[in-house]
Amino acid sequence: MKDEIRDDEAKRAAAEDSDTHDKSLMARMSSGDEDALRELIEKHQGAVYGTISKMLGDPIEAQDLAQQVFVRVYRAAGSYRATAQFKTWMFTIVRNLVFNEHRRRSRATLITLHGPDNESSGAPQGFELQDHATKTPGENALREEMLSAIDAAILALPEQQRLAIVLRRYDEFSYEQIAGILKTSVPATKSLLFRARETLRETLKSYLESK
Amino acid sequence: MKDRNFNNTPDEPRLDENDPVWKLLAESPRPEPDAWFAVRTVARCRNAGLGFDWLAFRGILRWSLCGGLGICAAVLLLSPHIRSELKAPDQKKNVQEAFEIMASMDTTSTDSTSSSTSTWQDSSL
Repeated sequence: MKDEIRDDEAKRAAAEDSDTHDKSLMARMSSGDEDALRELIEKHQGAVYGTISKMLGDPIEAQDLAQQVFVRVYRAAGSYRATAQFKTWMFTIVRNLVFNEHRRRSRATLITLHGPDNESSGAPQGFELQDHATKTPGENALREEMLSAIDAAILALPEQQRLAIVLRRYDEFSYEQIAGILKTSVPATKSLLFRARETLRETLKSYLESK
Repeated sequence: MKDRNFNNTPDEPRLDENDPVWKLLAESPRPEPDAWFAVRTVARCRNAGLGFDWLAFRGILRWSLCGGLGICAAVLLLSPHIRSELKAPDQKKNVQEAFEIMASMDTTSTDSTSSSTSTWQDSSL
């Protein structure tokens, strides 16, 4: 128990250090320091791109939106006031862009040019190697199917619930931070997460039972 | 089970980890950007430039509009009150003048009938 408390304190201290560093990078960026911009992008690109990708289920669109987030951060560097945590502020931009994109998509009927391949299903990309040696082709196929089902279940959630669950599960945001990003209260955030989790439990029931 | 999940506090993230849904979600990792993402993004930021911050301008415009509307509403709400306040001294002045006239009338009447008044006063005693 004491170890857990110590871990939490260490995590909190690390988060505070990281936030101070982000704010100093923003201050450097406001004076046109490109290295600071690169450092900030390299630090947060995984979280920003990953969140948008999970939210949209489209890696190509996610890349464009993630770039737009950093462009907005860069342009706002001069007027940025460190009133809240930097990460919370940046993810508010993510939220606005993603929700705008949802609204735009709901207005327009989109015809995708790329089929339901690995890339568009939100599966891991890059140089990640799959463990084909220890698993049979059948097991691999089942795993692929499960990953697709998980992504589809996340995508089927209402946008507020989806963002809450992605921020909590993949970015390990606190309830307060999520509430700040979604502009709701902490109890409302807990309620969103609870409902999202219950929906996922129902949707992914077959996979949960087989585990 | 449901209550336990719902009542998780920010200081108790470990309760999330015990949830099978949470464990299942971990199976599907968050996608990572490609190796050239940062380079491309820096180039895009460079093209966009620091420039004029429309977001900040929009914020200022919104607040100034809200402030202006607030001031107008306050003026509209307070104007009847101010008007009545301005009118009040006139009314006071009129009342005062009326009293003065009455007083002067009273003094003229008392001068002419001074004897009868004194008689009335005497009788009351």
